[in-house]
Amino acid sequence: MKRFSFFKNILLPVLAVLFLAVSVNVFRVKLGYCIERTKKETAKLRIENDYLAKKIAYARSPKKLEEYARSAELKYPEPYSIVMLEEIKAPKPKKTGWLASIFSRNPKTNI
Amino acid sequence: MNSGFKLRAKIIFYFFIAGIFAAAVRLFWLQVISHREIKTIGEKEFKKTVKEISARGRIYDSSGLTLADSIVVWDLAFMKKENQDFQSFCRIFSQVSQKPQNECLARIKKAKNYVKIDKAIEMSVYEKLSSAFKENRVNGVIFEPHQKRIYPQETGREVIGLSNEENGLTGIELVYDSRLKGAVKQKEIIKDRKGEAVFTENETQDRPPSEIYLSIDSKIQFFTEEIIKKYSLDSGADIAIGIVQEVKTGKIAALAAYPQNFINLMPIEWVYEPGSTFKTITLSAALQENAADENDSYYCENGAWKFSPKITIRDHEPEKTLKLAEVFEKSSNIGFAKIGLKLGAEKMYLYTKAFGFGSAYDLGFPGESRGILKELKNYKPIDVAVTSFGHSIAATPLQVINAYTAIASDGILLKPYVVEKIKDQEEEKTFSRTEIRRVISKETSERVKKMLLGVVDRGTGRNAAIIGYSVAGKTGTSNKIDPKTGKYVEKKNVASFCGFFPASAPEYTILVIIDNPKKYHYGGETAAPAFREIAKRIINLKNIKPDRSFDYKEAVKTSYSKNITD
Repeated sequence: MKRFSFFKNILLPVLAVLFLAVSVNVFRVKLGYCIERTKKETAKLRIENDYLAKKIAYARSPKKLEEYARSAELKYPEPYSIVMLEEIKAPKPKKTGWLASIFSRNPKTNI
Repeated sequence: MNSGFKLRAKIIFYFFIAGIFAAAVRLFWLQVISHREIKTIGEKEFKKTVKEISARGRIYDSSGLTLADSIVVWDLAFMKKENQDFQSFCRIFSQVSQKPQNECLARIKKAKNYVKIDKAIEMSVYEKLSSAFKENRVNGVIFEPHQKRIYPQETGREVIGLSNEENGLTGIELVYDSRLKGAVKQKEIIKDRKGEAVFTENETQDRPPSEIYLSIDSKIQFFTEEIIKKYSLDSGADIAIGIVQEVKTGKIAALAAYPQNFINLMPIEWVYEPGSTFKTITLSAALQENAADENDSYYCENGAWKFSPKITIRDHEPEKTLKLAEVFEKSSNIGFAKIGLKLGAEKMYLYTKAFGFGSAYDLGFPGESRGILKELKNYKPIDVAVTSFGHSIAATPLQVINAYTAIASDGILLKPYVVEKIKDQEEEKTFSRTEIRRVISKETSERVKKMLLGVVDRGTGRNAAIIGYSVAGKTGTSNKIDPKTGKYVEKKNVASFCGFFPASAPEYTILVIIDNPKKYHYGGETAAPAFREIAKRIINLKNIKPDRSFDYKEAVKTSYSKNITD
């Protein structure tokens, strides 16, 4: 009976704590590996993103655009040959009659 | 039998307990008693302190396009002692990178152990090399990551300047080096036996670098560079400079020089005698001080005025009596010498200083020049006379364009600037229009603008005219001084044109300087057409409306008759 109570009251809890500590450490190390791999992957993706941004930026450079334009045989226009349109604001809608207002959309109900 | 079994069970049980106890004691010994010692050994073996420098800050143009950025590249090195089979290493390297295998082998054979094989390898090649070496299980391979500066817009390189991985060397990279420097990141990495990272501890990082937004418009910068290059090569010039400045704010939209010079930023460091472009300053001062009037007439001595027994002032073309506007349009040196003498030394000097000559604008660039201006106490009558038409004074291109911008902005001298905004984690600092002083009144500036219009409409600046737009400007053709003899050289000159448009509501000022053109010598022949080309591109880019009526059919006819091809 005494042996059994020593095992149950002391040894088992100590073993349990030790097991828990070891499991936590193992989990911590695995998590550490996972985090470090994720960081490495993130760094790699950031570098890839930088390279893609670089490609886009180079493609939009004035030098590149001029090359594309010249290869398409485009030329710089004279200023007088460009027509600038004035911005015209859309006219306000006329007031509708009572009959039309029944069939027009109500912004509150969307009917 | 029962007792025997019980005994054996007891013995096994006690052995089991003893084993566990022994393990527990050992665990206790390692984890508690020897903890520090083992930790120190472990740290030595598996813990490394790593220092990384992050990318330098980005530099943008006025519209947010990236002018300078950093990307990661790799240097490839080989450790001879870790792998004797460098033939396979070189074979794989040569196959993937398309570089000669012999060079790789020669380098490795010369080296004792560590040898650098290739530098600045970009990501696509790095990934192929890395996987090829892994697949073939090649040892002794080291990839060292570095930051490499790139310039996506491929323009404005001199303004941006040069830098290495750690420091800025010239230009904006140098001026704002402390802001642009990459943040130093320090961390302790615990690695396992295979070298794979397990934990990162004690990670510290400096303040991240700032982002610099320049006032430079990369599109304007690009075509300014292209146009001055074209005109420089056409005319066989030594140097060509082009500056574009926004009149309303004073910000610099383009700062270009050909040939490219990364050491000296020519538009703010190079000095020259501005010649006839300085007549605008003399005219402004004379009108403001009532020393000249539109109704005044000047006798231009038939092109040669014997100022003193030893000195004769000459004009390009012999003229007799001219009105003030004609003196300006025909750019008579004799006429202006007389105007300058009437104005007087003191006022000539004061207005020269007021327009910004003889002082630097403190843009921050180390080589920025103040120009050369004689002290007032040293002025003799001949100095007043020749300064009136832009000799005996040395100015930087920036000083000249900023003086014209002052006239365009109703007589107010503005501070030019190249940096528009500095942005970092904590704050955002913006630079905008700063008025230095009022130099001339608004009324005087209108009178000067009218005369500058006359130069382009009827005078020496006709090649700067643009159909549908009023252009105000002045040509300049100044002889160069031989540094050995100190005398003016006949066939060497600096041709220039400075002007702004549209004159009715100026938006941009442009200065073009062609130094020592071999083909065409006059400012009106070589610099004015370059001005016109730059101005036309800006008009198209910024949708500047015409301010003069024109006949479309006549315009087309004129264009085709001039064989304008672009």
